[in-house]
Amino acid sequence: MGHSATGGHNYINHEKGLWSWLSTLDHKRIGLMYLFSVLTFFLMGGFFATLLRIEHLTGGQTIMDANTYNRVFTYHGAVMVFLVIIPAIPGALGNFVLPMMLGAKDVAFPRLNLASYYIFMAGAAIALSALLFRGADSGWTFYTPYSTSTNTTVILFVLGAFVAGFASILTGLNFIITVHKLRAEGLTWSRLPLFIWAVYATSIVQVLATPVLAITLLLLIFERVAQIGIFDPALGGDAVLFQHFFWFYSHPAVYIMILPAMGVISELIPVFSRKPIFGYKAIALSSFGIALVAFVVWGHHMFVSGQSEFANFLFSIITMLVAVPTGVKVFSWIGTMYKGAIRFNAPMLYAFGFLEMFTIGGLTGVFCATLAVDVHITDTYFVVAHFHYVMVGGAIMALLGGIHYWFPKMTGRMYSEASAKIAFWLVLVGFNLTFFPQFIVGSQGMPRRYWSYLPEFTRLNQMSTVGSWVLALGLVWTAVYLWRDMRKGKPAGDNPWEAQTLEWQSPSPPPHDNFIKVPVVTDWPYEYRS
Amino acid sequence: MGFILKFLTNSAYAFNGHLPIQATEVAKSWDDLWWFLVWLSVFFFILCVGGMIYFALKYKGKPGVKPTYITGNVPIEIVWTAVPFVLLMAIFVWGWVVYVDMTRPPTDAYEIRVVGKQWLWQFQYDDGRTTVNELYVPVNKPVKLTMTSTDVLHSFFVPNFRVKSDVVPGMFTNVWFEATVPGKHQVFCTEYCGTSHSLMLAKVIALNPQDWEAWKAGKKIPDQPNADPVQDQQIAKDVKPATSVVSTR
Repeated sequence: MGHSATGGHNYINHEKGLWSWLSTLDHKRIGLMYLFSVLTFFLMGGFFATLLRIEHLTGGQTIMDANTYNRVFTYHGAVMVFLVIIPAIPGALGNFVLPMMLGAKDVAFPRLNLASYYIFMAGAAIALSALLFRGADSGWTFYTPYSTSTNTTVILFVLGAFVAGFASILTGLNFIITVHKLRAEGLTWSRLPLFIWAVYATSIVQVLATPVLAITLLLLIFERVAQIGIFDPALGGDAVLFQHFFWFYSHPAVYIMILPAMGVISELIPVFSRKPIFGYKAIALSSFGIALVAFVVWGHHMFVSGQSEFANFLFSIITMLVAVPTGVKVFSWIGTMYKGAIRFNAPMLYAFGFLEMFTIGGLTGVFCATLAVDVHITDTYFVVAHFHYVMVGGAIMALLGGIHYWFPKMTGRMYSEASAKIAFWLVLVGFNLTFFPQFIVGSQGMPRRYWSYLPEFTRLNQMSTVGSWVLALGLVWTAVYLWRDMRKGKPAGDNPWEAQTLEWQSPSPPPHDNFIKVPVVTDWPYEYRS
Repeated sequence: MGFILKFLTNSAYAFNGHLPIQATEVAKSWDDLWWFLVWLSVFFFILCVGGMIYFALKYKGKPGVKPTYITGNVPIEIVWTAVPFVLLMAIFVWGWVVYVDMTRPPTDAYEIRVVGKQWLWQFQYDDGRTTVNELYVPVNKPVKLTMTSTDVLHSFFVPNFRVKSDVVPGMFTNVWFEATVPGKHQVFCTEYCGTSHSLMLAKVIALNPQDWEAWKAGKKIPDQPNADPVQDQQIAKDVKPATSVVSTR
């Protein structure tokens, strides 16, 4: 992994030993620590998902009783949302890539960055410690008054999410300041890579929305411990109030999950199409459009919750607006491919996968936004399928694409393209086989969070379960060959993709200070002329 | 296509594809909107993903082939912002119109009180009579349910009617429907409520006028078939029907 210009010196061999990693202030190392942690949690959340799917092989009890099932779906949801998808792209890819794309040596506050990582891990440890006690069975949404009355240790999950939220706020703050203060000479706002625009928009949402979750979760803890009477009607509280507070964060959180993914796709498509991104300004602005509207659509989770008809009217019409900037992005990505010279490397395959799944996720989002239609499909498997198409088909596909794309930069080695192709097809087929049948079974009325189901839903559930095995195989295979190629892959070279963003001007793997010579920017990052 | 769907869903549904039977007028107008959205989505899916595949194959990188330098096209960008906007607003209006029909009960609706609790449904009629997990209603008469919960959140969902509302402790919520198909209609609890959430099932039993009069008078009425024949085909297989108890005044 030597590099002539640096005398073989890079951020990996800069210091040695476990402690040098655990105490590092290097954003690249912190990024990798996030990546390994997040992928470990992803494996855990995926294990829970596989158990859920096996349970649904039959309509009655297959491998677990109802109380176990209720715990497992809670763990699956909470782990995947709070410990995987929210931190994945900003924490792992953002940390590694963002300062380098800006031409900076590090983030603005490296110590705070390391603190964020440990706060995140502390939150994860607190949440998962519930598994050692009586678990948690409230679902990741913690709806009251069930969450305040169940005899499981749901409070630990709530506390864990509360603590992890601070990591999210601090990372967001760190990134915002880094983007404002540490851009290389010549890197004006109109030359910022779209990944930076997307992470920047995400950071703003993280900083503004997460405190509301913190307050809500704290109130929930007070309610449980001190029986104050905020959310529990039996104590004089309002059960629906919790849903308003919760979704006021958790809807923007959906965009915390998807916006950085869109940023990754905006980088991948021009690089592998050898063409400038189509409609740079529109894509950059649409991230802000989505971030802004994100704050005023939370009520679309509550169309049948008992909220007023007038509120439903407003939330439905505003939610429709989300589809406009989202559509602009999708059309612009496809427009970027027009008259390009497209390369079919694994990152681009994942971008194709993203477009297929995210288009379905987005279009079914319109079903959910349409008031009358939502009444029938809300809280059914249709919604489960919809958000998996967005969260897995969108965020996780982009994460996989991004990992493959920046793998040579991170490790200095190239992954095996043949292995990656096998994995991609397994993931694509497995994912669609798992989740497409859930649209149909949901439209037939099968509710979500059901341990048992009626016989007429059997066949579609079995298809979905078989799909989950194919998907799991693809993901496990990905872990295997990436682990292998991280150590044994061919040397990658500094810029194997011939990309133009600044991180590729640095050696692979980069030196401790990122660049040998401080970069100066003279053009936008999508100048592909030949 | 229809054959495949039929195979996939074990269904005998003839005219509404994979959807549950249409047992109210609202269900029919709901289905029209649903199929409009389905076909519109198919159109946009083919446009986007088909376009992606077409471009990927047509503009596959080859030695000697140079990409064209294009950074945008304002008229096209305006079109693909404006057209979806107009479509979405139209969908919103259609969704709102059906929603109003679906949720505003006629003033002459027959009112039944509903209590959801872990893990059963209790129905109380105007004469004080109560039933559990079996809701008896007349066909072709609007019925309004006024619902509450005594413990945690529940949600009352009848797929055949396309209606649903959460059932919330400390407040009253409503659904209304006018069943047009006699027989038993499946009810699900669709807000997670703990251990037996998935067993908190009930049936709406829509009765012909003479059966309804007989039932109201406390007389024995004939066993009602499932309104959706799919459920009859399945019953023999494994799952026991939802436990149901009828208590009389």
